[in-house]
Amino acid sequence: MENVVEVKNLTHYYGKKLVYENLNFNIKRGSIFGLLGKNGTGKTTTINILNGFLKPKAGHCYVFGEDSYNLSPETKAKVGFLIEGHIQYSFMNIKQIEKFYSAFYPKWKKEPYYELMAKLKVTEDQKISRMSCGQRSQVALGLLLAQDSELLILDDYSMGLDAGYRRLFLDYLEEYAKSESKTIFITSHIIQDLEGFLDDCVIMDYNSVLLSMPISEFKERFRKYSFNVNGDKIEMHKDNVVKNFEQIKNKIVIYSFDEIEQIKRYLGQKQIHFSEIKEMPMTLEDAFIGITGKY
Amino acid sequence: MFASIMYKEWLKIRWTYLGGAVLGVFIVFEIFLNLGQIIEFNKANSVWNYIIFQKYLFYSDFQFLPAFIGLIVGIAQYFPEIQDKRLKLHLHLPMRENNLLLSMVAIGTVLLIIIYSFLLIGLSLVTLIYFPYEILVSLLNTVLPWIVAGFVIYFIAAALFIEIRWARRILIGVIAFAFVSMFYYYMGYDSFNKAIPVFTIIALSLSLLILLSGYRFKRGTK
Amino acid sequence: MLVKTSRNILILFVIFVLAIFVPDFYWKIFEKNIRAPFVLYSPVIHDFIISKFDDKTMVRMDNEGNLLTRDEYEELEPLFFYRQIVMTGKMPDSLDGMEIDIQELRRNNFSYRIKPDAIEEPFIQLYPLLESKSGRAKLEMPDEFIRLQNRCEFINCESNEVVEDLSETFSKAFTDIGFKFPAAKIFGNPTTRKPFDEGYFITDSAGDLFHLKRVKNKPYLKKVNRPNGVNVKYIVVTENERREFYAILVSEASKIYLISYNDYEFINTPIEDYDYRVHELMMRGNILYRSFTFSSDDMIRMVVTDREYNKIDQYDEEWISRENTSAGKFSKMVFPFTLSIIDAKEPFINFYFLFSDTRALIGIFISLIIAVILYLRKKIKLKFIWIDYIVILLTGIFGLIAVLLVRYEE
Repeated sequence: MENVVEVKNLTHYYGKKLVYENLNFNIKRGSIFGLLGKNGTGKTTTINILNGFLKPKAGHCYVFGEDSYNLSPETKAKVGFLIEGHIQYSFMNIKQIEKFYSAFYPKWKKEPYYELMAKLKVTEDQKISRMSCGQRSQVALGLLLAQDSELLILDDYSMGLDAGYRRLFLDYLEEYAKSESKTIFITSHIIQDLEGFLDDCVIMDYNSVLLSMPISEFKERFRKYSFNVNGDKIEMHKDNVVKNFEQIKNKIVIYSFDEIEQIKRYLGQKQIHFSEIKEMPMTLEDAFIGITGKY
Repeated sequence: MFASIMYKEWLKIRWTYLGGAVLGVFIVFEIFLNLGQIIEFNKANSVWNYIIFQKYLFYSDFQFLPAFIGLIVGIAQYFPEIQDKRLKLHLHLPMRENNLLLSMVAIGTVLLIIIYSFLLIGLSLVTLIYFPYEILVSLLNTVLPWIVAGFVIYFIAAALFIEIRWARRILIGVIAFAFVSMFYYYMGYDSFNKAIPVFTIIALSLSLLILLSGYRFKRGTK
Repeated sequence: MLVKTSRNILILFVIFVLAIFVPDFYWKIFEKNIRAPFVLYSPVIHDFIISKFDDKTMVRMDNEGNLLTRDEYEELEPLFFYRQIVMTGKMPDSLDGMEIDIQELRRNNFSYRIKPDAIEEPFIQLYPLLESKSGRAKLEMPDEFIRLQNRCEFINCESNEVVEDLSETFSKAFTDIGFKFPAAKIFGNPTTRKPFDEGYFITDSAGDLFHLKRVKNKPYLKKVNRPNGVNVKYIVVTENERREFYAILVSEASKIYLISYNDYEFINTPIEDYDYRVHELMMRGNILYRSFTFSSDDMIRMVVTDREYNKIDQYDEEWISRENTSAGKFSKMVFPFTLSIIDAKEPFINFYFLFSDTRALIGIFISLIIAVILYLRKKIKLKFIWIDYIVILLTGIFGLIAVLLVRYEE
């Protein structure tokens, strides 16, 4: 299958501060791809690079085969872009903004936009600046739907939205993506909403990628174990087996992709005397926090 | 597409622009009333003499008007673009980035040409009520640098707002302030007659400064 | 490409502003006040006496350099300082065999100044033509201004309309005498604060000189015959009650003539090396002598004549101009050129470049080295910044500051 977005060995610094090094991922045509991670892990940086609003220090990023820093107008027309915080031209009202954008996109469809707008309790001459955050998100979404772009790039669609609007947003997106086989690139720091929505995802940490796999696989394979240790001091480290851990007095919780038997063997090799080891049930959110850490 | 950009720019500017026009009309009208009063209270011939040989500028209230209009139009047009880095939306439109930026400047420039012409026509009519065309010609020669200063301030506002780094903004601001101050160096009417072509060329070239700022915005925004 | 142009424009813009303001600041800090000496011709000792500033104190001396007290100095020129001399009772009864009458003395003192920036000063070409024989003690501003374009038009100030009858009468006089419209230059004193009115001296489009007055609402228009080769550059109409000469005339060739009341005869003056473009001219007269002083920023010359304009003596002094002080020499190394939008000798705002000479190479060389070191340390490829080097080569320190402030973009 053809890749709509290819990210190769992407490396970026802000001054001397490393954002990430050698980031790699591809987004297949027709797939929904999520870039997840806590705030400050470089999600928006990636989006900016992808849209040509930042020149990476090293590496490449291709959108429809073009270097993302120099996108042609034709390619830009194929990409719908949601800026973090649903930023739009807030000095316009619903009608004005639709009229404005329609001239730029040959495939513009105003029906889905006005359908969506009809559900909002706003008047046609109400400026976007005087709308609620949720309403603004719907305007931005409506414009994206009307643009009918092949690739949607959504930077933190969930920002500032309560659960209802987040749901609504995704419902529309999902329907849109399925019926028209669009490619969607989405970033978020809230994973549970995206369960069953994403085809692929990359979870980022400060300076590195934590994992890259479909969410279902992540949910399936990622485990949480707890056990007790004796009073002697035990130092845990993250490695191939232990993806993350928490230690409160002599109770230890570890997160891993490995089965319980392998964990026992691992602890044995490290000469950690454990007792009462058991696997604990996890929601997707728990798993996400588990892998990204609480801090 | 250009028409659509024009529409957007107009939506941003319109109230400021109309406000500037109202202020301009007010100032031209005030110049008209003042002139009537001066001529009423003095003999017309001594007013002529004062204007021609003492180089009294009866239109000196007009002096900072074009600069002020250029400034507020620049703010109205470019400030919303940098709020929340909204310029990204503009640059994402399916046109070449340079064309997108220059379109904005071109639209503002045309709007300024319209408002300045309109005000100059008003000022000219007021002048011709009381004075022969010689005085009008010297008025136009003298007002022209102020008009050019208006465009300079507008172009600089564009480059300044789009620029992302404060150090560069301060540099552009200080240099531009020094430059604009030259337009208000006054040695009597007509004193810019020789220099104005070069000043105008420099001013027009400043319209391209937005491209460097735009490039830096695109390359380095966070 | 356009972005590069944009950067280059910003660099040139910065250089332009720096080349104006940096030398200006430099001189604000380092400039020493150099004032031209003040020279008078003493009718007592028949020699020049000079006063000048030595740093901040006024020094007075005779032409041999002997210091004089203020009283001694003023007593040597009782015609110039007559108020003070009369007050102290030291006025001699006679000078050069001429009896001194204070009234006469006062009546004969005059001075006129011609500054280089006045010569081309722009004026709106509308002039009030005063009635020179109104029969009133004081002059009055007329109700009309004249315009000398296609004809002689009188425009009423109150109505802003052309006054036909006056215009026709005067235009006819102009055509009759052979005046070629439009007028090229009009010289006169459009004011009522003068003892009497001599109207205007006007050159026509053929370069001929005419004298126009309004006498009892009728034109008085005379063609002034110029000696061969004398083309009018500038005229000061004197309107002095002694009625010796109508006007001082500066020719295109920088010669100074006086237009006599005796049938507009041109009186030659023995002034050499005067250049109206650079020198400020001062003509003084008193009961015994005439003097013509002209000066620039590094020299002064005074020529004294008798009342018939025969040369008596000449004073010359030169001093170190600003450019040749140590600060000036240093500036020649630092700045390859300086730019100013004003010039004391010019009435227009314009771009007045002052170029340095080979000394500028020192500053350019140092600027280039600094740029090379900085760019090498940052390991920047030549293809990005070769234009910066060219800019520095041409504009020295200004270019260096500009390219450092407006950094190259990859």
